[in-house]
Amino acid sequence: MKDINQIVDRLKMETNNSKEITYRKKMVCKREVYIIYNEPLTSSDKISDFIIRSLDRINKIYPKEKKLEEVIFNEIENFKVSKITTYEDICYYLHYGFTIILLENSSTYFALETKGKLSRSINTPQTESALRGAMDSFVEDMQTNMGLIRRRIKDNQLWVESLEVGRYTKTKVNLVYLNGVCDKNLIEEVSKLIKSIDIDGVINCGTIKNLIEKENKSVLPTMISTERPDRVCQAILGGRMVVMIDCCQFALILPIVMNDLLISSEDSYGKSINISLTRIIRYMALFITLFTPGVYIAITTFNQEMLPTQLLVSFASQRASVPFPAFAEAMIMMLAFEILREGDLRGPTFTTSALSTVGALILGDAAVSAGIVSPIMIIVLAITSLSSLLFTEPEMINGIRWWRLLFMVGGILFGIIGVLLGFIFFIIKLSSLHSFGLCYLMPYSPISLVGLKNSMIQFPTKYLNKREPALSSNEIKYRRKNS
Amino acid sequence: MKKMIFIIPIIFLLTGCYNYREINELAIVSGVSIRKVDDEIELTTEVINPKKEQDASSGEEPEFIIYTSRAKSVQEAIRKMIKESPRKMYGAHIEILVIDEGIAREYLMDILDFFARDPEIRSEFKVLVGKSDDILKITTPLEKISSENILNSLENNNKYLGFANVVTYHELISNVLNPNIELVLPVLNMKGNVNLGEDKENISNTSVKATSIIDGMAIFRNNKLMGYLTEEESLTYNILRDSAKNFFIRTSGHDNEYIVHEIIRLSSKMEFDKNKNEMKITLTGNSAISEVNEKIDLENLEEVSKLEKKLNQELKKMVERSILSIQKKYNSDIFGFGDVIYKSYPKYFQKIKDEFKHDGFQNMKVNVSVKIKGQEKGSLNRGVRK
Repeated sequence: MKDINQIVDRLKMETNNSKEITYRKKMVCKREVYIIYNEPLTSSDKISDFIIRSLDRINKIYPKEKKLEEVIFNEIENFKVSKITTYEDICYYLHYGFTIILLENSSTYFALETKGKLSRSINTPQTESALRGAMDSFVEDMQTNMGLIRRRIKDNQLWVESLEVGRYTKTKVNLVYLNGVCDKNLIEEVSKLIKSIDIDGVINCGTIKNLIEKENKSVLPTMISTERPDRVCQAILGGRMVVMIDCCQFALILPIVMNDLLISSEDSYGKSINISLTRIIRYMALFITLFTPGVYIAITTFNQEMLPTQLLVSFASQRASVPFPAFAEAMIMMLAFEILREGDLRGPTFTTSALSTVGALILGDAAVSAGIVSPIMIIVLAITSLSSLLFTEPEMINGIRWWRLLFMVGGILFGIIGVLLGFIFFIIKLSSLHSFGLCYLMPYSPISLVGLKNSMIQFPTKYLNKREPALSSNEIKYRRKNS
Repeated sequence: MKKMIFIIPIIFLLTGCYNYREINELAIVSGVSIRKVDDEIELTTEVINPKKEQDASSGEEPEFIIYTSRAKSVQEAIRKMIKESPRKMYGAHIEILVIDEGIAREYLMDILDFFARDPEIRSEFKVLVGKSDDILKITTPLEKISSENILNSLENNNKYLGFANVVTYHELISNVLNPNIELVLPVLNMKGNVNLGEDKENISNTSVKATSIIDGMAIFRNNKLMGYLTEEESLTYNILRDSAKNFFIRTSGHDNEYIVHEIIRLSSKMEFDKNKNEMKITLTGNSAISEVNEKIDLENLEEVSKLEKKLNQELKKMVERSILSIQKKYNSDIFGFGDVIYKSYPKYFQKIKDEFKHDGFQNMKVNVSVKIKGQEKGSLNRGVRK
């Protein structure tokens, strides 16, 4: 093919003579050899200890060898030697941290794995803590992440489809699923969607998520992002598909339904009867966080007759000195809380104690004494925001805010009727929502007896025999044999 | 998207609408009393004063405020209160309505419409006949709001004494509209001095200077007040109407000896015997001995069954006596005998209706049978007295 000097020149020109790419020229068996590697991506130890040494050894042992390609392929000390032929391949491997060996007068080149360790080690999960549960979490390195999954599911049927997305980033995207359990149409659909993505770059899973999500108008998530390998493996075993993105510590689980957002990976540790109570509390929290401000506004501005007299008098006395209408009061407090939460999330860790002081003392206590808000409003806000923090998926917490606002507006416009109208709209919207073909209200509507066993009430594992038929292809129906 | 840009501001701009009112702009009415003064209706409302808890200075404020106004109609009277009150009266939390004796005697039908028609007011509040004016003004010690005080003592009187019945406005209306049954309302009276009772000092003493009391029941005929029932008659009414839940019967022996029975789970059944023209009343239930002041061995079954017999006789006598006295004194079918006949023999009742109203009830024979079972005897087997 081409002369190797030509290749080197072209590479140099295209990379604008980057200092990071090292070109090392060597004479092996009287032939010119170029060792090219991308310095920040590679481990220098591996290159000098194994590649350069073995080339030197080859030079000593076979000084007059003609078929140098064969010898290098056989003798070089590296676990992964690929023969490549094109210039594009050279660039590709180079940017993946491989070392390229170019041989004079040869049409095949070698790519040797010499990746340096650029990723942090496996850590405990930061965003999804659990009392019981595996303490490892995904890192930014795809290899490690795949390892964490493979360690848990040791079967040939764990299939991985590797794709590449991003014109410049060339990010590896892996679709992980159980062959024969996961729905084939789903796999085809998702892989087609990902393949069709033409974008400059993919830095995190959010980009992929937004590009393959069909329900962009809905505020509620149709995919879960998680950093817990145990949760990912549970999802895979349940017939779901997982999208792993290189350089992102979150994996995407899809498809998911509303019910999945209320299930924690920790639930499988407990007794079903205790977990059921926890689930009911989570469902209640969902309703509390959605409706409390709306219902409070509706009751205090329209439907005062719904309150017991004692409570009405107590509310009235608390609101006696507040100059704002209930809606404005609620909006002020909601805004204050959202600002506080955002500041807490974005700010550096050492400011959080200052924030909590400001939040608790100034917004809570002082605002009441100053007569800006009533104490009952603080309670409403507290129970609302507390309940919203029960969900691990941030998209869920953020999405709920819109619906809460809708119920509040409904409450201020038409009272309890308005909240009810909002609720009807909410249910209509939820039931028209789909996550990759799966109805969002799945075990409840359309009703699925198998799914109901693991919804608001969790049945004992003994009774969770069948797979959810809507989720998986029907080849293997039972996840557990009756005994 | 362009549509949304127009719609969203409209949502916020059109907010000042139907029935919107903030909770602290309401005058929460808890009780209403109504009377007739010189051809005009005088309405008195008790408005709860929501006090701020933290504010030390508001400790001086009264718990409730009384507004009074006069007009030709109820609606006008209640609206005219705005003249003295800064807030509009809010009627959804009315707990009691006190109808003055004078109105009850003549004009009961004239005032009923407003409270049933107004959509804001719930017809679940209780109605009483007031024997004295200004009862709502009295400050009360245990319950801070005087209406609540009256309501609770009314309900407890019915529950544990059986001397009063609880009539909601809804029941009052359906009772007034039903021609086959006459109306009975509980009576509210005053004990002590009104002028002292109005003052806050009334509740700073250990014994109150003035207080409201539930004082038996008022009997109506053709929706006009006829008179007041005695305690025994009231109890009989409640027994027959199944609204006495818990009451006491004393059976007396010789030489001031007595035993007190508590009657529980009482139920009554009325049946009309067309051939004999007789009303059969059956009372069943259980009793518990709650006080023994007699030489008796309660472990002896014979004595116990004797006692049971005695109790049944005593109760039967009391019921028969009371029915007879109501028949003779008032000729008002408060027990709903007419209703019982109408429900079992509608055609027959149509024929005798006018006659029944005239003297049919008065001459109705009554056959009372009482089947109370003695069940509990308390913690002691014998009386303390030897």
